[in-house]
Amino acid sequence: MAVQRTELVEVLRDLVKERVAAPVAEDADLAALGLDSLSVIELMMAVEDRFGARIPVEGIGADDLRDLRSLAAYALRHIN
Amino acid sequence: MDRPLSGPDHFHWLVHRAMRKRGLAGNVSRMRFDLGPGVDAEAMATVLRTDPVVQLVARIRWRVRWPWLPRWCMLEHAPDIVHLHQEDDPEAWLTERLGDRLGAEGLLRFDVLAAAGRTQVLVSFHHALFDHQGMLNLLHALGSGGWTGPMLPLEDRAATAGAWRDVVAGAAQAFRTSGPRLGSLWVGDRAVPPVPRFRVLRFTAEETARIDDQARSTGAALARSAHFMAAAARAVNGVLDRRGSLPRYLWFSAPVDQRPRGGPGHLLTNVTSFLFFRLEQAQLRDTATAVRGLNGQLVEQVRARFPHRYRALLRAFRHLPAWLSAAMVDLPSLGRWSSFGFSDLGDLDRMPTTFAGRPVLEVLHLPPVPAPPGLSVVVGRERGALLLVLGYDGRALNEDEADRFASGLRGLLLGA
Repeated sequence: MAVQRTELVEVLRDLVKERVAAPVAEDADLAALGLDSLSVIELMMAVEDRFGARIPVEGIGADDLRDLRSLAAYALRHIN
Repeated sequence: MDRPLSGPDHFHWLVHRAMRKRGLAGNVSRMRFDLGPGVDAEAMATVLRTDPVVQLVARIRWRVRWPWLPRWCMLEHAPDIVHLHQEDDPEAWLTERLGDRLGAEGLLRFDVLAAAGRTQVLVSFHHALFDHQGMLNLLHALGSGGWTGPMLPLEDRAATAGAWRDVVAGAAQAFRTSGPRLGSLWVGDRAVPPVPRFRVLRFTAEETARIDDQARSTGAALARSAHFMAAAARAVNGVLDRRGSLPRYLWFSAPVDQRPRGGPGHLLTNVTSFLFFRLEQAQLRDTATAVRGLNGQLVEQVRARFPHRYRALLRAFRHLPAWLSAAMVDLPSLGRWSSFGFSDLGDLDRMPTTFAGRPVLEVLHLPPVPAPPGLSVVVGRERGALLLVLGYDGRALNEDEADRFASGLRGLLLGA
């Protein structure tokens, strides 16, 4: 069954919340939240574990790192 | 406080021993705070001297009683660790003075430099005592009336069932990419005093924006550090090329902060691990290819939980005799350790904007310069502008080469 974007955003939001210990908006700037490259790779690994897919993390571009929505969109392209 | 040094602290203690054995100043990091004009240097020295946090840290020492692990301990009374220098050229400290060892001061020292109406404070701290983030904790605590939080984090124990598997996997992974043929700037027989020198590369906000665009175009979106590392590696390669000794590959490490976010703050200790990178000569020909190589190695190491495994390795190293752990580090690289040292401190805006109540105009982080390799590159970003500090030893770069390295690096960062 195809994963929905909203579901993935929620999963990512929960994962980020664990790391920054604060509520996270969908359009929050990931860099401003203090998420570095290691955190992003770990987030994608957690998403891979959850949905059983392989995400080519090294291909993530600047536009994909804008906020949770764009990161979810990148992951979704490789999950579905 | 009577506790063994943690794995990363012990690693820095080992590096310190090795540096002292080679006649170097030791594993000492420094931060220079430019406070500009209008500051009473004598009053500043008094403020620091009487600060309870300064007095607390001034009492910390390590105690070594073979065959047990070195332990932290406290002196009964704090020695004076604040020194005032009137009418002394502060810039000369970057080129001549930083070979001074921390002596009776122990692990922390403040030099208040006043010249031509300007005041700077140079804070020297032993790297075994804390890393950059730990230093920030101390600076934030200055003037707060005392430290009420924990001095050390919860003990760094290898308590998990798979700890030894992590140690073996970490060692295999760390030593797999290193070897005796790594490129090195080191020329051991140059007769120069073993004093580290520093150069500062400052970029304007506009230049920094150009460098960020350049990082995106070379593929360093996930980690901008990849662009900085690639440029530094290519600049090292350029120096070696001029010497007519192009290496097969360059090998270097980068520290990574391992502090859990939102966890309790503590004053002391290093909470770091390392990532290791290897760039073959073919990857050093253009920045985009180098960045691609670094991105791949970064992702591979994080996927393999390498930072976690390497910390387990550092913990285990504490239980080996010092000569054996030194040999384990030396053997794969024939004592050259790495091609150069690299550290990205990220946004220096987390730095306090005041120092003991005075506004700070500029902060420089001056890294230790182990020699070999004799070159340390530190990247930071202050008020939106990129700031690089190059620490070097004359046996790695002579002054002409240092000029060329600095201008080459500037050009590579800007995409010239």
